[in-house]
Amino acid sequence: MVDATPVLPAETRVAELMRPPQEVMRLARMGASHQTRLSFMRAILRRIKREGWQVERTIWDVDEKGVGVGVYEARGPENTYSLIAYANDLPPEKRSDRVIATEWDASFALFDGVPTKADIDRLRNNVPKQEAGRCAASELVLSRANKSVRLFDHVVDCLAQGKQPDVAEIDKVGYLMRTTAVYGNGKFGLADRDLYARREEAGGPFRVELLAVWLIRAFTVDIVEHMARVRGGADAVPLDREIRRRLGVGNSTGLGMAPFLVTHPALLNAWITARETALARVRALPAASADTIACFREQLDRAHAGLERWRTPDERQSLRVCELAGDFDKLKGHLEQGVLTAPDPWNELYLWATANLTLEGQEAVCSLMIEPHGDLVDDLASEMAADESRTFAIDGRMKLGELSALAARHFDWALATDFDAADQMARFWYVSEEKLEPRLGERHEEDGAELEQRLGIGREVAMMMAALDGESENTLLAEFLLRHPEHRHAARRVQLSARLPYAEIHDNVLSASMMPIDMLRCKLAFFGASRFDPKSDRWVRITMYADAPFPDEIAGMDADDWSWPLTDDARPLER
Amino acid sequence: MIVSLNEADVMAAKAARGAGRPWGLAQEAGRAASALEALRLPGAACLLDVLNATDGVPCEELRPGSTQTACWQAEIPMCPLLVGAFISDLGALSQKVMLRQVRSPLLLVPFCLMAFDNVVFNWSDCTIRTSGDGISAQGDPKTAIADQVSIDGSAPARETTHSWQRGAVDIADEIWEALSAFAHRTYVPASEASRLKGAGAGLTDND
Repeated sequence: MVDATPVLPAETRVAELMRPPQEVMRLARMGASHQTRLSFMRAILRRIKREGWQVERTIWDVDEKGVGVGVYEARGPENTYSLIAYANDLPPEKRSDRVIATEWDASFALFDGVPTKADIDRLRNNVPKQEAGRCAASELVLSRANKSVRLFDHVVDCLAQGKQPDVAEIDKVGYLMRTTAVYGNGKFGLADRDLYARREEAGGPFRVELLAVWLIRAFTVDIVEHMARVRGGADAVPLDREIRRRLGVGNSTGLGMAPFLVTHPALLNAWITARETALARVRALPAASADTIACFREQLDRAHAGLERWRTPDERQSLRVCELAGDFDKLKGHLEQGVLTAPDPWNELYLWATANLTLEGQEAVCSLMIEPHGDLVDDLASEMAADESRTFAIDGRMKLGELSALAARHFDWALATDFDAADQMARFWYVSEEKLEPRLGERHEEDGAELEQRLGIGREVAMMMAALDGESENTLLAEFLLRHPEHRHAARRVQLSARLPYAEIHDNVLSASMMPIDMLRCKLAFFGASRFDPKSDRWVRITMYADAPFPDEIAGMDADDWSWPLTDDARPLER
Repeated sequence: MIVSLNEADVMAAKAARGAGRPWGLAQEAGRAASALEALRLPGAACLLDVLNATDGVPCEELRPGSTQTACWQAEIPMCPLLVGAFISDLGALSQKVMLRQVRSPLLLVPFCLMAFDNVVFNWSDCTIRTSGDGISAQGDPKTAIADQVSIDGSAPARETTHSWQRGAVDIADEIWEALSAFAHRTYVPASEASRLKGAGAGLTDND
């Protein structure tokens, strides 16, 4: 599919073609992000395939009501990771995706190594309680999931009767269970990331969390087949593999995830830098080979056809999906004019897209352009981790004049914002006493703004600049900050921006018009999620790993050909 | 309470914030306390001592009045977070410092480790030196108030008494609970409206 020996573009040309942060880091564009081949789920499955991991369900002790435990061992070349899944028989009235829930249909821990019976018993008293339980450093991930009752029951019914479920029903929902939180990095007693960050397979961002989700996907099918056997006995059949593959793991993501992008500036910079470098490398190619063009066109067709399965009742997103279909039509028309066989094909295509397509369309084209160029860009997937502590120190030897100049250069958008205007200050981020989770309040209507989380970096910088008024340009920053420790946060972020161009969102996250789902979508696209289905301006449902190989088939399949799956026309299903 | 270092960091930062430290400095308090815990030194306990003793005291009273003098001091014992952050900001410019009256001087150590490669601290009967993979501490490093603290450049110590360790730490329940009480001040109580609006749900998700 790709050239055997890609011509590496000159670094200077690549640097010239990097999109500036002023363009990339706007929330509207971040909110139109699509998965790319650098997305974490894809990088994980490529590795699992390349290294020949073995996944085995070693324990399945589940009763007739669907209560019990399953263990899945994933054995890599160096380490084994085990998903311990506790299945529950949850009364319908207790089923909620919100973080305020206290019981779930299933709960999970990703165990570092192979758990003993004592581990499984210890965790049985803790994992189903989630936030109210405690884990230990032997556990890397804690998660839970609820059924899509409608689809789960339909699939159990069909399989119990010896039939396959209706593909239309499968596609309407897309998953049997959806996770409502996937915790890692030391939360609730889990292992600190430092403990495993040096392992090659676990050092990249969210590698262990998303490995857990891939194994959870296998569990969701096992539990549905188990319930069908309980009900149907000898009549029951397993789920057809082609139908099975259409299922992902659903996920409900709410506000809890949004502050992450603000509180991890070095990590955000690493993610965006990798994706933008990939795009710039492709744009810098002087010509496109016939194979590359064919691959691009095939993926475009698949992406276009796949929009059928991107269904959302959300008006705004639904309109955007329609517009994206229109964009794909336009793009196909444009390709007929031979842009890809002319010089600088990818850059020309990119420039055409920015002038003619919606943000959804532009970002989709970026992802599609990167797709045929694995040889050129896949190395970047291993450069997406970042240690925030390396860029945390403030250089207090800097003079205030220089700091002001840096702020003026990198936070021009913030310094042009009127933070005295009611709508620019409409929101405040806080942590709720009830669930210790991030929330968004209305500053002019609700109490608690004095306890806000300082996530409005633009406003922080604007406040610091106001305080710098009247200070001598030659004063050392350290001396200023000793007198004004309230500006340490802003000073740190200004210095960070000078070193890490994509560290900051270039929009006011306190404004009345800010949409938290834009932040969620950006992060989830880096995970590799698709079919974003917003449920409000602040939470979104997605599917993960839909159409990807299952553990028992990855060895015999292409591990990385699922993001834009083959259409039904091209892959007839037995119905 | 056995906690991960990340939990210790987050708790310490919230507690410092709850005790009135500004956001950026509170983040540094979290890192300093958890760095000491990673050295298996009482970072959480020292931070709690500082927060208890300075609760409600404005920052300007807890920092040196002047840094142009040979010995830095305030009218009341100084906050190691404010002084430590200043030393760390100055980096090599501040490698030789004398301080009078500092609370829990152990909390100065992580800030200085960020700023210089090799450093020696002296207070009361305690000497702390950087070493190859951690620090070398002699005497009791946990002092409520040190009358005089000296910080200077030094050759690295030959032996390490406290090396960097990853993984969970055991923090006494009463310390954890007291830090939690400070952290609790940063949380906003829920109202029915905020419950529905704040997280954005309210639609049924039971399908």
